[in-house]
Amino acid sequence: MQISGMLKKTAQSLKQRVRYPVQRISIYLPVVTVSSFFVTDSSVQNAYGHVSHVLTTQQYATIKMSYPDIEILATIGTGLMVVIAIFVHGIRYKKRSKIKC
Amino acid sequence: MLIRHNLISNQTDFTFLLIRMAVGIYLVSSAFVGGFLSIMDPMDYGHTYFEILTALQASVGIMLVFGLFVRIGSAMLICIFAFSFVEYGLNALDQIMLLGVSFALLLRTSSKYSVDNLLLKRKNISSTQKFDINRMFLPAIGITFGANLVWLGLVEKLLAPNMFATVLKEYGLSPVGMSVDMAVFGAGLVEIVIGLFYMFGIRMRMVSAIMLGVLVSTVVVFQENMIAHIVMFAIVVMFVINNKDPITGIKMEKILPIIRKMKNVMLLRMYAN
Repeated sequence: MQISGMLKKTAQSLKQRVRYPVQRISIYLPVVTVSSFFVTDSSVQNAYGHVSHVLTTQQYATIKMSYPDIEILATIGTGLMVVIAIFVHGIRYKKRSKIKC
Repeated sequence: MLIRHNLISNQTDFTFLLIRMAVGIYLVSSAFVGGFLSIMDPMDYGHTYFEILTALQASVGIMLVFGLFVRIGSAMLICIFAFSFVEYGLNALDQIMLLGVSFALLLRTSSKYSVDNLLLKRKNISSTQKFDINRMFLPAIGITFGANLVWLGLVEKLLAPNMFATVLKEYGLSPVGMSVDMAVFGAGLVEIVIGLFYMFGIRMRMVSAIMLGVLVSTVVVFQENMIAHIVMFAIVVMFVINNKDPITGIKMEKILPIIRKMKNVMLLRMYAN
């Protein structure tokens, strides 16, 4: 009886705390994903995230050979994005500090 | 007002601790395995700098975990990252988020939960009235984390589709009703878009919630090494907890009119054709 009362109280306080939809999503999404994978028991054995670890060394080397300049292209693309992002953050920072003044 | 200020201060202190612990644990584990900024690829024992790199990583990791001389530790981490370019070439960018985190730790001026705070009364030496360096903490991490995702999306998926396609084929992971090429393109695009959201500070909490779901599912489905992704987890959780940074929040109301205009232009073009 006491335990159920305590559980009810905890649930109520949680409901009060988790008011915004974003908070709910951030809690529900991982919980739902994990539980669905546990329920369906779906998993890939011996797979380790990063593509280079999933493929065998031979496979990885062969595929890599067919794309010789991707690192340079990707670096240019990512670098450009970083420069633009820093510029945008800088402008926003200036605007904020002007408003404060 | 005072309570709110204290709450925000506690949150930032907590996130500082979280990110420090994550990077520290990652570095110590990497040193323990014998890798160089990597848990999965151990170095050869005959490597010229094997002992030095292992000792450096372990010491920086311990410094960050305990919060002892955090700034010196983060400066050392920047040096380690710079050396990784010598070792891996441009592939060192796989871990560019570590550079962002080390910059952020270097810039941050005060933290409650650290040995530094007990030993030395750290002064706000970097912040002036004109430029508050603490406000750069979250954007520095957001930009580099986003850059990391964009880089991985380009290198592993969009620019080298065969690489990810082979993985999908090998493990039968291609979604139902979708060709492998389309799945590769979609995955790369999603990764890049999430990265851009992080870089430009758009809807950080929402994006982080989605990213947390993705990370958790990859750990469960692919049985990935948890420690290998601990820094990513910490960054994502940090943004879920502490998204209301003064300069990382863009209001959706400002973007919606632009999206509406784009939609109208597209519709007009469609009907014109």
